[in-house]
Amino acid sequence: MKQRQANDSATIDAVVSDWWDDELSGRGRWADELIEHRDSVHEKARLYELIGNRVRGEEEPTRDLLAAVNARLDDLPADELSGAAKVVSLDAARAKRRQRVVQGAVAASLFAAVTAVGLTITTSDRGMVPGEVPAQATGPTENDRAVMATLNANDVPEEVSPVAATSGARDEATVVAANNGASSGSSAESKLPAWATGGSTTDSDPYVITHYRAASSEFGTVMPEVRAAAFERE
Amino acid sequence: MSAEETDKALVARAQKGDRRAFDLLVLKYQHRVQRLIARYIRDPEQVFDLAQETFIKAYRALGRFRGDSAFYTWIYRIAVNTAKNQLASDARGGFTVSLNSGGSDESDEPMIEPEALRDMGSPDALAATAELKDAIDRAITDLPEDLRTALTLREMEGLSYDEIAAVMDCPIGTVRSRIFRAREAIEQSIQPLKGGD
Repeated sequence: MKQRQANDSATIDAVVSDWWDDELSGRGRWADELIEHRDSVHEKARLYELIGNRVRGEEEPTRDLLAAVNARLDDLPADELSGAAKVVSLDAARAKRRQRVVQGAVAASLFAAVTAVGLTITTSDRGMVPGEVPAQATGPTENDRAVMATLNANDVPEEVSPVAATSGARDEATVVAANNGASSGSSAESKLPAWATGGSTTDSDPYVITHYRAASSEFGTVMPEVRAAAFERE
Repeated sequence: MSAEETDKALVARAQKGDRRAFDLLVLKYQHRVQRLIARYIRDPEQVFDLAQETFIKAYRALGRFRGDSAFYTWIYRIAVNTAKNQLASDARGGFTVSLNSGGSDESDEPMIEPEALRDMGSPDALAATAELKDAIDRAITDLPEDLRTALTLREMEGLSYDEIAAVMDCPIGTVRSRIFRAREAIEQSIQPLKGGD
């Protein structure tokens, strides 16, 4: 039993030494031990502070701060003491924080789901009359045919601009938008730029010309609205 | 860090009203807080008062300490703010901050000395302390070199055990043991002065 007590004493002394140096491991499990051996801890801590001061060559404090603080705390009204009634403990605070995080995540998920469903419904219903079938191009449109007629690569040598090779230029060509039956209900007519119909070489865009030359005869089936709109930018 | 965990465990107990836990935190950090305040304030008496006020403020605010930062970071911040507020008050020609002001930094009540304050500056106490100091100095000198080196690196340079292990080229457990043994040896050598066995 005496040996056991000696070992316990040596252990707590070593714990105090580590604690004093901020080197105590054990994730807080020594807190109770330190409190339980409070008197011993006080004695050791005062000695360690004194040793440290001597090593550093510092003067000793002439007044006992700990006693002064405790005296002051003794004079505090009871309701000012850090009792549990006034205090949210660390554990409770952590639990509350965790709860807030979970609640936030659930709220964010709900919001995202509602937004996604709303967007899907809005997008699919936009411009649609109930019962109406969306228009879909099934082959070259009027627009495509007009352009392809002027850019017939088979009749033009590779080194010659298709625009220059086409005579009888028109300044512009009237085309019908691919989405002829679109919800706008307008004629949706647009004007082709002169370079697209071979009427002029000015303002021709090499990229667009190359695009049309490379495109297949069925290119009009892909996003015809966008292509028609691109012409209107001229 | 594990040391922070121990501090937080003590704070958690203090928050539940365990004064002994807060007492240990004051014990551990009182001198560090005083040294910190002394960088702002020259007068040792004022340093002492402000350190005292720092811990009173901390105790009153323990309920708001969530553990997001280490306790020492929190208490150091209170100490620095307390010192800076005192400097500002001094600049305005104010009085010393009162400990009865409910934590306010703007109070102009005079300082009230707690009656229970232990006087460590009496002639007897000073003589005993001087004798103790000499004994400790001798004990440090008499330490085996490896123990003295470990202790000096810790106390003088403030190195962590890990850093001391690197300097002394030994395992961290050895450093831990050497520092503890050095302190134990010093304590043994001053036992007669303490009236112990």
